[in-house]
Amino acid sequence: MALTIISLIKQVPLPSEMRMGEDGLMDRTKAKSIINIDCQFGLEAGLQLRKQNPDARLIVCSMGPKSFEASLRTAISMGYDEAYLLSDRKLGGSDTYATGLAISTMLKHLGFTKESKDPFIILAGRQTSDGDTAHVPSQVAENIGIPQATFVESVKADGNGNVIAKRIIEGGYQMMKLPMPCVISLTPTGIPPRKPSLSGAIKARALKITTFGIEDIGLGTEKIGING
Amino acid sequence: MSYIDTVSTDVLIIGGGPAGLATSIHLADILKQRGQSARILLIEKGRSIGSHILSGAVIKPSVFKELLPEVDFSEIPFNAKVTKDRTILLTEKGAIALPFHLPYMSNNGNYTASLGQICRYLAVKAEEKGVEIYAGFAVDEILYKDGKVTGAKTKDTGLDHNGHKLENFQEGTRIEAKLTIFAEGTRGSLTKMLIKKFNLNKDRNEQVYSLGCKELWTVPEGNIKAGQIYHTMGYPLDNDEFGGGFIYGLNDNKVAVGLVVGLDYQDPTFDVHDAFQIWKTSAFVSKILKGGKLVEYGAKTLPEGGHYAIPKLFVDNALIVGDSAGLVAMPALKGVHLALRSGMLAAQATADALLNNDTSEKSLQQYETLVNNSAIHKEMFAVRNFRQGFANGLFIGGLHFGTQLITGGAGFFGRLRSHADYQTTLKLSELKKKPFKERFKGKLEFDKILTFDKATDVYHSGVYHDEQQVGHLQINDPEKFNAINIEQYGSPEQFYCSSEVYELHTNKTGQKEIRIHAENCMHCKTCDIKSPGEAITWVVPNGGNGPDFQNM
Repeated sequence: MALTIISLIKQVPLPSEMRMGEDGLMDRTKAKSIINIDCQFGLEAGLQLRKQNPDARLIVCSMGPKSFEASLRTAISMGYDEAYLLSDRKLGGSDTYATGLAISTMLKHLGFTKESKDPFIILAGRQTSDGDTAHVPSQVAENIGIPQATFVESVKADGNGNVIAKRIIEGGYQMMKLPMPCVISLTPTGIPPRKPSLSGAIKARALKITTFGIEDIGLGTEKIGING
Repeated sequence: MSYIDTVSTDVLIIGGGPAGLATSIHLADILKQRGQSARILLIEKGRSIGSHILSGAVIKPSVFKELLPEVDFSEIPFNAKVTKDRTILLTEKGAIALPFHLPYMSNNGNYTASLGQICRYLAVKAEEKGVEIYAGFAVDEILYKDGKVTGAKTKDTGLDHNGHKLENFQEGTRIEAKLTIFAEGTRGSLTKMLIKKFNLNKDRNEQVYSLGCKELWTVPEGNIKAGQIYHTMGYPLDNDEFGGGFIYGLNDNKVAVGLVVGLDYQDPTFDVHDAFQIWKTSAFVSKILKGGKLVEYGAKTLPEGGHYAIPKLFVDNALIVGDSAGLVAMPALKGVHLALRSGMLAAQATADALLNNDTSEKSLQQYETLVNNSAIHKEMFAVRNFRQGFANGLFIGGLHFGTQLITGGAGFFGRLRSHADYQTTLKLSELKKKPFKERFKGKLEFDKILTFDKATDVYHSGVYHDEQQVGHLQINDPEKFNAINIEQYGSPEQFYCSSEVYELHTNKTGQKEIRIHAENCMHCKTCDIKSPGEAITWVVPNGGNGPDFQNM
């Protein structure tokens, strides 16, 4: 009955090097890339949860082109165990609705549904530096049909199958208790992301990243990509 | 995830510069030829290969053909072939080009290059040959067993300024290696510890250094041609300051400029970065930079002690290569080709040691023997007394050099000694001549078009340091520092630092203290070298920190 901690991340251009392409979409090709800062805090939150659950399985997931593998490997070098990438040309140009749908379809395909017997928790960053919408974590929660807490600074397991989340609101904090499975999105105000370890980096380089296309996870084309 | 991580390798190479990379490439080749297999792990403290690489550079290319015989020479990212090469006697308003080359200063057949680009290329080759390269990792501890080197450990991360563990503490990884190659570059921090522990500089001259400040510029077409190189002597240095400027025309209307000054100068207020800015205002240099734009800045020290300052290069299970070994040939300050060659020779000795399962000192002596019989020795031995001759000024140095030229390097006085750079600084009260700021009064307002203050230059180096770590610049004895470095020497740290790390702050009651802005650190090591009384120790910061040179 080990806990699975799933972190959703996005690779983004270094904020100082962003450019807008001619088609109104981000031109990511020329800038250096990093893991989106909020997502890094999400990754660290997952690693902190592991301290309470040493047997936890840590999974990192992303949706994007093959170049996102670099970020997935960085997450592994921080301490994650497995990495999954949803990558398909047809997903290019997706807005947050389509992205949320696609990611939750992949998670369901991996066995993470609201009926799952084994406990899991999905962590994400609050928002991205190249999108700034903060939509996707909530979209994922709604698609899977599980509770969510956003703008969370820190999250702890209570030992009874719930998590206690410290949420940032105007003027202070709100303490929330959610049953797992649930989705938590992290603000960049909590524990800063740890640096990779060398042994982690060596493990990351050798690791096979499982890549899915939309057919693999059973996702139709009507609601994704530019159409979505 | 394990908590005290250990990684095992056959060979650990500390440093991804030309020496470390050449060692890894040649070792991989030899092992393949012999059907031997061994794990080669190379770690680099910079964010990526090239991030901490800085050189002029004008490189002698022949050793590259030996290192990469299977590669077409045109594939190696050299820049422009040297077409015009002049030594300039510089004054503020004028310049006289010498009609001849000084001995050992000819660059016929050499190429300008960005050493960073070359290293990136070498890294690609190394990885193709199976070398495992990990950048962004710093080792701050040598591992020992029974008094012998057994590897190194990466730095613990996630510590606050006082060294207390934070929530995101990450223990460093222990790397256990049969053989460790120290390729840390100039004034390597672990190499320094190794030399001290095993007394590797016994009977050697003190190693002495120069500090070079460099800028990469893009200039209008026609200002300078690619392949045109100049070395300047004179302005703004006086008779007591050893060094000069360089101007290297590169492809795509880029030019590399810099000033390199020996750190044995006596004036505690001398400032190499500022002297570099003043050098640019000379008529000759400013004409070349006119209408141009600053692209990058960086600084680095160079070991100049020569043959007599090279430490013993081997101990049980460890070898030293490149700048860490002091392998730079004067007067042209050429170390890249020597670094490569030392790496190749280290690779030979390493391959044999692994084959015979004997990485002891006795077995590794082969490396030093190879070096002593190689072109490295030939080049450095001929100029073994060059740098020391200049300890008493240019004129005397010139005389010494003259005697050395006609005696195959011996000179009339035999082996000349050197003094450590931190010992040559005079106290404020002892300085007889005008201090730096007075000498250049009126020239120290930087216009941010041609000349730049340190902070602006530092911005152009891409420098970054994690906030959560212990400050990596350590004042060994703060009380002594205040009494001596500040009171008696006027805190030369604020002047000799290439990157405005050290700020002398005087509060309302007149009390002075030094404030350390470690986040600016260029990793040049000048403070570790020049601080009076050896008051400062440079410790390696977190991996991935420091400058992020793109094309330096």
